[in-house]
Amino acid sequence: MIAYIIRRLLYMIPIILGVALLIFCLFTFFGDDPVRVALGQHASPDAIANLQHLWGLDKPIYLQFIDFLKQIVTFDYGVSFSTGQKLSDMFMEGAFVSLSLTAPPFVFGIFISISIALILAYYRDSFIDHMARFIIIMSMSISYLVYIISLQYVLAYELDLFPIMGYEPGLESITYLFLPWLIIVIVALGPNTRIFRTLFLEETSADYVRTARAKGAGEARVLFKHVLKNALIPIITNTVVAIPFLILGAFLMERFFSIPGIGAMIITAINEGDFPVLKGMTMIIAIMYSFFNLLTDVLYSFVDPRVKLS
Amino acid sequence: MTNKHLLKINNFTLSFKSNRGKFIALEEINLGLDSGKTLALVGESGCGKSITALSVLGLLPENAATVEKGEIFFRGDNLLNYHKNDLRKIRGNRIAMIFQEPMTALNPVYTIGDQVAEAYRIHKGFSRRKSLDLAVEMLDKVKIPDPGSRINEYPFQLSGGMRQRVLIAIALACQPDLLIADEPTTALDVTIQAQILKLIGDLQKEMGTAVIFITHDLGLVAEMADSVAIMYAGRIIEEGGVYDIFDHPKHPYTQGLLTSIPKIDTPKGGKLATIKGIVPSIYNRHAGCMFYDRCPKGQNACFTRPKAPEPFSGKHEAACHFVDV
Repeated sequence: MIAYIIRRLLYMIPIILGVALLIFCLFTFFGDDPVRVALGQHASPDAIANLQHLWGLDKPIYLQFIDFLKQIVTFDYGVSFSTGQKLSDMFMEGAFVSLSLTAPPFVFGIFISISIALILAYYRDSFIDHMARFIIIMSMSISYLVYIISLQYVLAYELDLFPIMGYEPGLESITYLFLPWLIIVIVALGPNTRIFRTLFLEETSADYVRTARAKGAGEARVLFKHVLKNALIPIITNTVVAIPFLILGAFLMERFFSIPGIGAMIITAINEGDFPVLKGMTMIIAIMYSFFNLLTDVLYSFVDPRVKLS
Repeated sequence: MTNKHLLKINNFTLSFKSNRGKFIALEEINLGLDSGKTLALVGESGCGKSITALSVLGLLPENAATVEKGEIFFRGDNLLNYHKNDLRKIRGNRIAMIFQEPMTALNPVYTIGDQVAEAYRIHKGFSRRKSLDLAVEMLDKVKIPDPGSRINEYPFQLSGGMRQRVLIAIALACQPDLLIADEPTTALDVTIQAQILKLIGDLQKEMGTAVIFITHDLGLVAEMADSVAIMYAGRIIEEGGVYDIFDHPKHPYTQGLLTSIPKIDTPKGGKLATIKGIVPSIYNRHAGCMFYDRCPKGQNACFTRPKAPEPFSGKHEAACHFVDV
């Protein structure tokens, strides 16, 4: 198992190199000249040369790429063009805020979705199931924005249950995060429940379920013992790949609730043409994505005895 | 009268709903089976053998299948009147079933020990520990070597034959009165087939279990069965003792089946006898004999007038107007 993980980590090196090259090329050969963006149209040639030198943009391309690789290895992506803050510090701060925004409703939401989906699978094709499916489809047809604005208006503005927006570090943050949490749970509930219900129902037509029934297992035992563990395999696939996006934060949520997470940072960086931030964030997300792929495979081995990591 | 048999199916008619409407899957099924005996249900794919078995177990898809009429008596009680939960207590306990796909019929994510022990946990309410001990005993009975350590293995670690043994262990765990074996050896290679059949036969004698064998392998029927019911298109067209059927087949379909068995003295390159035509579609049912259009003896009377099974000697009966008497 440990040997497997080490080998998979080694495999990640060429993948990350490839991604780094791609990102480097995109940022170097396409898009605006960061120096021009920073200094504006009427900058003197001296000032441009100065800034190019300061940012290392006057070096040959391959040296610039090597610099970029060094940044990746040392997790030191330099400083933001616009704020002068160290990018690694920005990232750590932002990631914590984004995660505290998205992780709790993510975990809680999946737990609720699995429970509801099991109940619907138990009562499949009954009135409850049909009603629930109707509500799910309806809830999925409403835009994310409608939930944000209407809940913000009703719960925070009219009923004054939560602050309308804002963020404070520490325990205080919970008062600010509660409403966004609620919205994330509600929005994810529909699609997740629908997928999980389908996964459970697919499993119920498997041969081993027929064996369990012939053995005298009741419907509850069939679902909670036999079907659930088998369905966990596709559920893991569906959910773990979503984790990098949790760190990225819910762009819209951070924007609407003025939460200083990574999503908000990236939007600001795009607006201000802050290339080091964009380049660094893109790279970090790509690396995290590979890590979570590995995590998925490791998780499989806990659920499915057929998966032997060697 | 119904108490005489362990299992007695009377005039059982079953229909299915499909997107093309309702169709009859089983029509006027009559079967009887005594304790400890073996009945073979023989017929081509889709003739209703497995559906008959699933009806006895109460495992038909609830929203698609409708019982039109008839009764299924088990130990004197009509199973069709049972509440779902009471039926569940019989399933895997008094009536058990093994299926034809040993490769997929076990749950891949639980150990085989767990899966055999589950039968004891459901029906006897034993503790985990005790159930596992009994599971080891049962796996020993189905001749799985070193069962004490095998209980911790997963299905993917076992061969097809071993998996079928595990499924037999699950089915026979509670010493059922009736075992339904739905083509238990179809997916296995020939040497393993013989072993599995012998195992079922031995355990049947040891436990006094009655067995319904569902098969289209007539060689297997001759070896295992006490009585035989031949099914065609949802009906039983001939029923009798195994010697009656093999030595004096009455219905033209049965005769056709028996002549299509390859003989060891068939000359090399010689043609195998076949029954011409194909099984009629379930949507083309009519009141007469369903074998009419493939039958060498078919006449107009067969098409217009159904023929109720007619007894010859003892329990041997066939549904045909033109049987050779």
